[in-house]
Amino acid sequence: MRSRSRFTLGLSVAAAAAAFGSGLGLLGVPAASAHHSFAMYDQTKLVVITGSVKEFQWSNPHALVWLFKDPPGSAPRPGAGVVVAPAPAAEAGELWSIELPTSPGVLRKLGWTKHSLEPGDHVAMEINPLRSGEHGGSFKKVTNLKTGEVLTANTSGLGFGGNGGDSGGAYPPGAGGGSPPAGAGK
Amino acid sequence: MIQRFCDWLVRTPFSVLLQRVGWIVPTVQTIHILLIGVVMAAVALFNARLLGIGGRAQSLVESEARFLPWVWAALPGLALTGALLVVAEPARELTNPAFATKLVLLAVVVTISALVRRGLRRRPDRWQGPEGLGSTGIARLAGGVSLALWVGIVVAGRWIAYVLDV
Amino acid sequence: MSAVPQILNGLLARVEETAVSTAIRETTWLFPVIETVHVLALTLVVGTIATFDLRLVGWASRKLPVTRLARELLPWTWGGFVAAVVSGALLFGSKAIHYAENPAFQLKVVLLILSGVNMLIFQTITFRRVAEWDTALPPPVRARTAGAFSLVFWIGVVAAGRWIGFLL
Repeated sequence: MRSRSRFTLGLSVAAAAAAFGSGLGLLGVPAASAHHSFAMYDQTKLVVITGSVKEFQWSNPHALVWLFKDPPGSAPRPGAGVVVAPAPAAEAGELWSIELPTSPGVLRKLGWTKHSLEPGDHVAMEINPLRSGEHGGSFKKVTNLKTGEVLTANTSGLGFGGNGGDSGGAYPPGAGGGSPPAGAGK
Repeated sequence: MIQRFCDWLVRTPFSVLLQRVGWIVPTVQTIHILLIGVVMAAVALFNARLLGIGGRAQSLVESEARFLPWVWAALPGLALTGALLVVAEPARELTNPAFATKLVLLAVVVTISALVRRGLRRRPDRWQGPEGLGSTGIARLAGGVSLALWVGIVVAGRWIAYVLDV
Repeated sequence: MSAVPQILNGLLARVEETAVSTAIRETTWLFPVIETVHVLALTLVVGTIATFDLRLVGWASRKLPVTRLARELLPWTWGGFVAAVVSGALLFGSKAIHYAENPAFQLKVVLLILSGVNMLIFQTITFRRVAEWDTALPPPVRARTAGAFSLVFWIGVVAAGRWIGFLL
């Protein structure tokens, strides 16, 4: 293939892909977005959302939590050992989708099960929020506000369920210093 | 040390730009996949010829000259798109054994391909014409190994997502 | 997220609940392996089709007759396509409703159908009289059109497929 045709080919492929890419991007990222790249999430921010679990999707490639966020001013931010009364499920607040960084297979190795989170569980979830500001984030840590149980999905092997302290967030400058990041996104 | 490099890289303005503009990463990934398609088609046909299971109407020399240029043409684009993906999410690749495996396999198969090319061009008379229309043990070996390596590269690349930095 | 008609929803729910779909959804290795097969298969399909299309538009492999390329490439295309469809169907089944509602997946299906129609038209009309233009350069307009459309559709299939994971 002559180099000029090669160049034209490469350029056309890139242009077509870019056109499709922006076209699909314009389809918009709806209120709940999944990802196959962590780039969508702001990894320098940690946000805590409290609410009740609507659904815990135990599925490949990444597990997902649907959460009704508590209306503002309802539940206080829990400290260690504080038990908070569950929020009434009927008062469903904003729906958030929080994606775990990995699959059921890996989560199982980290001590999770399909029933680690059940519908109605009142939790405080620590996430890297979506850059776009929409109601979604990348999971860092969850505290069950009734039982006090803490779960992380820190795939570098630290913070295995219950060893709450290390949230595994590598990028926030102040948090946890030099701990490795929560591993590969998809 | 790699970790510190990743932490630095992910904060650079260029990396943040790639992360922030939503359609860039999927588009770069798409181009990467399309170029892999070009490589796999060429590799399938050439290695089928080496293995003696297809394309026997042309000699090994002709087959190599026809198919391998597509691979060489696609590699720079693959390297560029790959580099962009690493800049957007450094830790995902640079701390990942699947990514390291992919690069090692790539180095091996590129070396083998270069050796095959040299072998074919050094004794074209041997590999051209009616005598060159069949296949030999060494050609079959090269074909089988090279095909396995290319498939391995694609598999390792996909498994970056499934193998974590434990 | 686009809704799916109720009847279809019931059927998709049943597909999701089968043992196979559940295993793919919840166990460790099935999903990665099937997805890897899907990726390998699709690269073969797209690579061989692109090579053939580039000949149809007259940009590459110009010295080779179209019929020869068809003979060499298209068996690989079909083999890859079958593997891609089977693996794709298995992946789809594991979260059927989720994928059916996903705009990127819907676009992918539409583009697959369009490329199928394009191929059908090409095979039944244009390719019938290929002897007339087998080695003609540039190729006739109808061949170049078929090739161009095919390239655009298949690039779109890959892009849409990649986007499935970026939308919920």
